[in-house]
Amino acid sequence: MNNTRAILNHESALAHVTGSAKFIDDIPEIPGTLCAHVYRSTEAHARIMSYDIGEALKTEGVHAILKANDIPGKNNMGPVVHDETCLAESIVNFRGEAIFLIAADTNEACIKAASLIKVEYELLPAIFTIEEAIHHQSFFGDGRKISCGDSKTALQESPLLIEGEFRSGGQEHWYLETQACLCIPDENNEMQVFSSSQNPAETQSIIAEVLGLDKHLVRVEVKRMGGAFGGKETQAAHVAAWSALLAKFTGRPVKIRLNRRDDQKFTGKRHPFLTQYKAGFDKNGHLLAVEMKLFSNAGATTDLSWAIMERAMFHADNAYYCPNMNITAMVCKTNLPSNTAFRGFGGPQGMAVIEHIMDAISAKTGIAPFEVRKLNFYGNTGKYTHYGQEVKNIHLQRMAIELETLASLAQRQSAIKDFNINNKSVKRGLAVSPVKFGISFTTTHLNQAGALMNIYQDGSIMVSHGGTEMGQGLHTKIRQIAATELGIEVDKIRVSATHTDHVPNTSATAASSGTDLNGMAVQDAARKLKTRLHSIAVKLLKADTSPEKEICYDNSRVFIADNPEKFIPFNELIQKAYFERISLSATGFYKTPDIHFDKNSGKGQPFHYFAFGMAATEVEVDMHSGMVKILRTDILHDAGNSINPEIDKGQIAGGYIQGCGWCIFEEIKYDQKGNILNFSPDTYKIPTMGDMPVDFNIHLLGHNYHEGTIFGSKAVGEPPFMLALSAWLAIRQAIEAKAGKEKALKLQIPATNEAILRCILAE
Amino acid sequence: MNQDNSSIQFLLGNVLQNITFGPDSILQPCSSILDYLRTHRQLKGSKEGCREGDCGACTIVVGSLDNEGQMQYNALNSCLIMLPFLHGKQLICIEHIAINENSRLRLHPVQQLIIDKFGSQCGFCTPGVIMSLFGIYKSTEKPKATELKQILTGNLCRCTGYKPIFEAALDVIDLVNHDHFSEDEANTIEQLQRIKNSNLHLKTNNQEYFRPSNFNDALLIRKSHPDIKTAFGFTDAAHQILDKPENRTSILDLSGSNHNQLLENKDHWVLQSGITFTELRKYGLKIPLIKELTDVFASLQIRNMASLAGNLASASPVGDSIPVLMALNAKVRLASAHQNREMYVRDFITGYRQTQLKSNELIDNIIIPKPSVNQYFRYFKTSRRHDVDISSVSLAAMIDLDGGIIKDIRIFFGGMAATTLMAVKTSESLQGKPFSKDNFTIAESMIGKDFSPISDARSSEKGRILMARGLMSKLYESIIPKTDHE
Repeated sequence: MNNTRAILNHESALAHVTGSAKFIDDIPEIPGTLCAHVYRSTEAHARIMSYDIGEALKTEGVHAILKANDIPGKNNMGPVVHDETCLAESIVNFRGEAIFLIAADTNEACIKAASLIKVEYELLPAIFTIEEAIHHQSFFGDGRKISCGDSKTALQESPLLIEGEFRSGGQEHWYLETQACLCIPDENNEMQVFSSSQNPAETQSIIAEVLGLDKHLVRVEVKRMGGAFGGKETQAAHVAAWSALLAKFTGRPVKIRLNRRDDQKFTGKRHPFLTQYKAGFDKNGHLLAVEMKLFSNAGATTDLSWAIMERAMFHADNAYYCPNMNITAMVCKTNLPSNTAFRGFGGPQGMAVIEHIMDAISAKTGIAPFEVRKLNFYGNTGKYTHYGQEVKNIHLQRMAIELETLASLAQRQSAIKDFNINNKSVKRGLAVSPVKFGISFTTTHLNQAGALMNIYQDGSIMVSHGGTEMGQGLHTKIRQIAATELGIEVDKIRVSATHTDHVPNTSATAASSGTDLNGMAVQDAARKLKTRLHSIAVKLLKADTSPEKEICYDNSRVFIADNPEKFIPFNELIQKAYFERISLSATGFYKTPDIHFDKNSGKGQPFHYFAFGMAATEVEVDMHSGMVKILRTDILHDAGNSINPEIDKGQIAGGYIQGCGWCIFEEIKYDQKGNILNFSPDTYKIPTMGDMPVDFNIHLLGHNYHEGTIFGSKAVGEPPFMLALSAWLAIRQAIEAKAGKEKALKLQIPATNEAILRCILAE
Repeated sequence: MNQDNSSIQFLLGNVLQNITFGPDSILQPCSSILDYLRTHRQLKGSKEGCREGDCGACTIVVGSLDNEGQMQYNALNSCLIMLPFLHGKQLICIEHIAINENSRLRLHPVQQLIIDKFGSQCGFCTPGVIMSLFGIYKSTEKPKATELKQILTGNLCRCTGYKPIFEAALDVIDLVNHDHFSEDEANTIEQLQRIKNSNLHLKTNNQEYFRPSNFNDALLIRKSHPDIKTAFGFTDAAHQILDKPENRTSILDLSGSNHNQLLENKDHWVLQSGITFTELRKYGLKIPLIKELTDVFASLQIRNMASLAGNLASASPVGDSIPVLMALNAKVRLASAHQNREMYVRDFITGYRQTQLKSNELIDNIIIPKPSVNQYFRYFKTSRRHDVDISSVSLAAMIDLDGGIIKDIRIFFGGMAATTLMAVKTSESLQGKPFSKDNFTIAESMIGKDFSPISDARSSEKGRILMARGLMSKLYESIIPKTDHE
């Protein structure tokens, strides 16, 4: 493990910096490749009374215009529930729903044809907000519940009570590479698909179903994504299905790449949440009972909304033990584009509420916010979650102590107090928030992964696995895992693009699980190969043939454990093995052990383990403009025994800043008709470098080997996102210094400059 | 008029290109540089992230000769710039900055820094980031560490949180400018000098594109083509031109007209209309408010192209420079082939994106009177995000103070109405009054009488009123001596 844990750069870094890294739109086009355009509904909810595509079809350069009844297979792109049509039939359920697909020689011809299509609608009543959905009882399914103890009685008996509503907003993924797919039809009905997808297997499934083909005819390849963040978990399949349909119909390659505005207008986002809550506690700040009713705005189709809601319910406790909890949830059906996965997957929305409750407890009891949080950490008074899972290996207490030193919290709190006394129009605030994030897909069967390892005669190795690379450094870590397992240089390992024909039936690269699952599968494949190589190694080393003798692979050499001086080079062993006719290709497989969850009882052990983190953020807020500057952030994060510390720190910095976007700057507004108002970077503002904390410190929790994971490491993709809650909480501290606790508690998410001004100046 | 030229010449990397436009040419003059690179040259390293100059994934660097005949390098958004801009310049994109030496790749130092700092994750923004860093590397006056963040706000990254990119940039400013471009610079200068700075008249079946080499010729073209779409840097106009074919039939591009001098006399500064915000920034120390303005104006890539006159002519209610020019009591001088006229900027703008500019006129220059010692100018902007964001509300004010009495005050607000307007009642309520917190509190309450703003994607009506009140408090606090604080 030592040699490969040295600094290893991103496996594509050289290609990135030279501009040679290919994304979908960079693949050289085969002559004859057609442009495509999606004709979309202009109404949010309507019946299609009639349409006319006759004139459009006559447009010069147009090869095909497809409609729902042209679909040879099933008209569905819904990943879990089949409630999402590929092309609208008689009813459109959101503005931007696909009705026709146009393929033409040029983009201009597509646009011209689209302008000639006529559709007559009969408008139907449309709803857009959670409140409207509640009013009309417009929900997906019947609701869910997870509870423990007796919250009703406990609330009645609690000395102190708070209740209210809390809202958090949506968020646009703003991956730099918009949704894109290139489909190339091949002989015998085969379809070669180049997709920017976190989930090539599902993209394959949906294309196969839509085209009415067996899956083995559809080959999906994902080289890399230009960012995804959950936005390409299910919804990458949309552009894929559309381009596949057009490619099938025209017999020509077809590429669809959404332009930025269409991507922002018509693809799903993070779910906005509304939560009605009650909490009971004592005057010492101990949480006694919590009731929450969570509502999410799912948009027009189910997509992953229930899985997202489930994770929100699982994380309604964040890092705090509460003996009596009752979490219920409803998923609202509205006439907006279907919302979808986004880093954190409901976790941030659930955690924000309990963090708000912690602040409210602090306000009521007069105990400092961080003290209230520490009091209630898992491990002090209890360690079982509301869904019955024991929280093991709790790092919260240790992290709080270390962070207090790393961030000089005590000195800075007093300096901030002085600053606020001396400054009327600018106030500062500092807040600490913890994260406890459950790692595993909560849909148990998804927790499996496969790998394929091919060793070539020269000793170089190609690894394929089910995970996709979206910038998170998964392939880099996989190289390290394979190289470590075989004791060879990382340079000898190539990770191939993700292909559905290399590793079948894979799960999405999501839930922070990429390295956990696929790393284990790759290790399994390597170990299988080593088992096969055992006898020839023994023979070549002329060693004692007793099976107890361990063969070591290290430093590109193979030797018996107790005799490293006598070795054979790895590539020599491989060459010999080939002549001995030993198979040098192996598959690996992994399934996460001991996880289960019963949706009906709301009990089980859905997570393999928990990842922890803690952040202290100091902000300065201009009381006249509401504008926020992040002065300093100190993060202490639990990545287990990190496989690649620099890559993990990159995930932490990126997750935190993206979280700050959600907490502070990014707001999605709709007009009365359900049109998104900020559909371009002109009005939708993700953080820039100027928003980075002036002082930004990231530390990994040391001496932290985690049993039962690949090399003792922990997942790090999503948990850091929620560390940004500390920025929002720090803004509240600054507001409190100006306007008091009560007004500060009104600040919800996002804490835009306007929201901040409204809190300060609230009557 | 000067001799017209129907072709453009520029260096792509270090190779001279000659593109002639005619009835049958495939390339159109209104092709963006990004499309030219990606589609026509198959150079796919520059990325399209937004196609509106916000994300910087398409950033390129353009080298050109400055007034002393030395090379200067500017980072620009290739999605917003049309091909003729390149005439007489050197286009450098991501594919050019590493070189093959004896069939080994020699990375540029800025590329190596991004690798070493783990500055790329998904890699899509990376080419643009590299080019911005390269622009910093090539700048004759290296920015200070404190300026770096502002300079790089034009490159959005959704993966890294910017930390490693910032750390790389800190190292870039310490590097000595010595790369294969500097090795080859004499040759580059010689090649560029050989390209004649003539009037471009590029005509294809669908498009007619003029890029005159001096301002007088521009006026003649404007006279003979009254409906011609005219702009300087095209950072605003490019959206309309590139998105809609009907907007690109006839274009007058002023970026070659060499009309970018700052003239100064005893009472005034005269800014020729072609001055870009980057050039303006260089003049910032002389002219009050210009630093405050350019600090918050767009990104480096945009400032390198966009002109002050263009920002004014857009007559946008949220144009950053408009309240500033109004508060400074600036005048605008309009020129046509026959006559010139002058008017106050506040009179020049007549409505939402409406001005007094006639179809045969161009903005010649902007005249800013020099302030007296008792005059205080202030400019503040409230936006959702600090950098590269259009204001929700902005305030510019000029106050004449005489012994604690407000002799004259003019407060202008952007974002509060369909155009930038003077807050008449608010200003009047302060006229002749002592400069005091109480009087400002009264004035603040008048804002609602001056304006009833709209709700839109940026802010709500109520939010805008709160922001305007906040800016009034800022105005007050920015003028009183520190010791007088409440």
